[in-house]
Amino acid sequence: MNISVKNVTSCIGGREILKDIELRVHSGEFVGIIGPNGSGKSTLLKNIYRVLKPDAGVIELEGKDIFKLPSRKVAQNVAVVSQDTPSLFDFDVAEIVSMGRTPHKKFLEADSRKDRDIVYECLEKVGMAKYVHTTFSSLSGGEKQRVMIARALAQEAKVLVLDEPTNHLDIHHQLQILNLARELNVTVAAALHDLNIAAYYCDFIYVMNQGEIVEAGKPLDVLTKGMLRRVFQVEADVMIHPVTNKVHITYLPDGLVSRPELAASR
Amino acid sequence: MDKQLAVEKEHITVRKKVSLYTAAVLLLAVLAASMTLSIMIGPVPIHPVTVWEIALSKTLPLEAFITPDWSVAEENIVWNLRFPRVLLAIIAGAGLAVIGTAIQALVRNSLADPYILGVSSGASVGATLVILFGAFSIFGPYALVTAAFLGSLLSMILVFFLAQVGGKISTVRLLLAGIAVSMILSAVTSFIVISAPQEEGIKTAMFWMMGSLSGAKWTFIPIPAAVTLIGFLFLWSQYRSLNILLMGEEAAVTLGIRLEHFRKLLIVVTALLTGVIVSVCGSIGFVGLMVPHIVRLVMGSDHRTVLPISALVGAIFLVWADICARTVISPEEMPIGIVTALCGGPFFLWLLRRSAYSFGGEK
Ligand SMILES: Nc1ncnc2c1ncn2[C@@H]1O[C@H](COP(=O)(O)OP(=O)(O)O)[C@@H](O)[C@H]1O
Ligand SMILES: [Mg+2]
Repeated sequence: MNISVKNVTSCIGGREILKDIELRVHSGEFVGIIGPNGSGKSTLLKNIYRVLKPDAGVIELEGKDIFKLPSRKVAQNVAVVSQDTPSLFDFDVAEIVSMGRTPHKKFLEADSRKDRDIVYECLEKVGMAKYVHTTFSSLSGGEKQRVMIARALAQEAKVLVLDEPTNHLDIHHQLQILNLARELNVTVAAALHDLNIAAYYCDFIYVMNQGEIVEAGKPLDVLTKGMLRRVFQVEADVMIHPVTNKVHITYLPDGLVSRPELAASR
Repeated sequence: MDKQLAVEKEHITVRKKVSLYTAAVLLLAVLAASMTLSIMIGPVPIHPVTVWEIALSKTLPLEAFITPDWSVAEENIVWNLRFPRVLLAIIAGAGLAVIGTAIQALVRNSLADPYILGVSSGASVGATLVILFGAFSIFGPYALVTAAFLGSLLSMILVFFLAQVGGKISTVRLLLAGIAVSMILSAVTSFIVISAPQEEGIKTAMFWMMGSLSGAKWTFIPIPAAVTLIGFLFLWSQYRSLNILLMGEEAAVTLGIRLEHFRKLLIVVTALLTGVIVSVCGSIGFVGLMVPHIVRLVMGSDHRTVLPISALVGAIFLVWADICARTVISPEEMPIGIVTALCGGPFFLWLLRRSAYSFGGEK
């Protein structure tokens, strides 16, 4: 399944948050979206998972406008781990993950043996199987995040949309989750805040800044000193790591860059 | 280890199911007992066996098996007065508890109750007009019910449109519009009451506004019973969507719920249900707010369980509230709303102080 974002513009409260965004996620690809806070990554993903509707442009799943497809159909194909993990009311972990089965259930169809097995397997995959009956609200931030990931996995979708899926996780679980996403051989569109992680997992990276895509390409081509200086305002050393053979960034803490043109425009 | 995992896996299957069925059977037994007791108690005490003999002889062709050993007066009391009354208590209690559960999911607010959409105050305007000025007399004995229902329908439509922004329902606006419309309509009701010509009517109107089952007749049973049953079955069939609604807007959209459509459907269903119930017994408070919380505390938040169990608990609670309303100051009777508030309030406060239950918020 591929996703095409074509000339998408999105306004919130009269302000243009996304400006003429063009983005492609090819089938089976792991595409990362990086950019500083407030650059519009989440807004872009929200448009993709239909919580926001673009003010101009279209977003297509396999060439079909996602707003013209039936909601259930989209949910069968696209699973989302978003940033809000509400702890409303006391559901237990199994109940939350079971919700991921909803798009596959017909009217009045009860949970089957298969659904329960899927729920359990997904919890095992994220290392939360022993918490099946724990109440969700009593989990730590990282544990909650892993449950939300299990819910997305239970959806058995061909596309995963992840908004900073690992921001609460310790390093072990960050790697575990992203390995998992990669091994599933599904299409992934993920906003990532850790650039080294992005370098390691992404086939393709889009860089956003102030609501625009400013660069796009393979990690090696995009993650450059120049880009880090211009977009992230940091001085860094970039090299190919001898063990991983991937781009590795070392930030230079004394090298914070101020952006005079920004200060002037505010 | 594998064995232990298998056992836990089995738990996902078994645990909830058992507790839903056992709880349901248990509560049904309690409901049947409470119902019998409610019919037995009164100025003329009736033996429990007689209660069911009368009921059976009235509903089934059993002349050959049951020889009436009761008076015509007893039969009249049991069948024409107490039965419809206890049935109305069951319908209203179950209905209000179910609506409360659904509305709390709809607005994701644990303080929501069935009257949050302004339904009861709209009904009060209609009802007081009938009670005090004899309006809608063309509807004969159904004038009160019809007027109350029309009032609730109108206020609901008003709230519904006030809550829309650009074709979408905003839950915050829904709550606020509901509160504002309720306040306005309550003022209108008060105005009607103080400008009423007759003392007796005012008392009736007050009684009705606080909620009362004293007007129960067989003719008032079928419609609320059917509407409540259908409403309950509809909501129950939507248990997955209701669960997801509690998880928030993003979850709902990404799990394939047609959010706007579903919300509107919920508003219409719950408002109609409330309208029908309020129009026969006034606005009985606390049931719809409290029962869902109690049930969630014990059974968890899954609507597959919460809806049917709430219905049963609501029904039992209201049957008992009615018993109190009839007996505490007998031979006088007090509005059932006073009883539900007096029993419900303190219990709710106790619940509030318990830290184990989060009321849908942070602990
Ligand atoms: N609901 C909202 N109302 C107003 N502004 C918003 C809203 N959501 C996001 N924004 C603005 O949109 C911009 C992009 O936000 P976001 O997409 O969350 O950025 P990112 O995920 O890249 O940190 C920010 O400037 C933010 O202030
Ligand atoms: Mg973000």
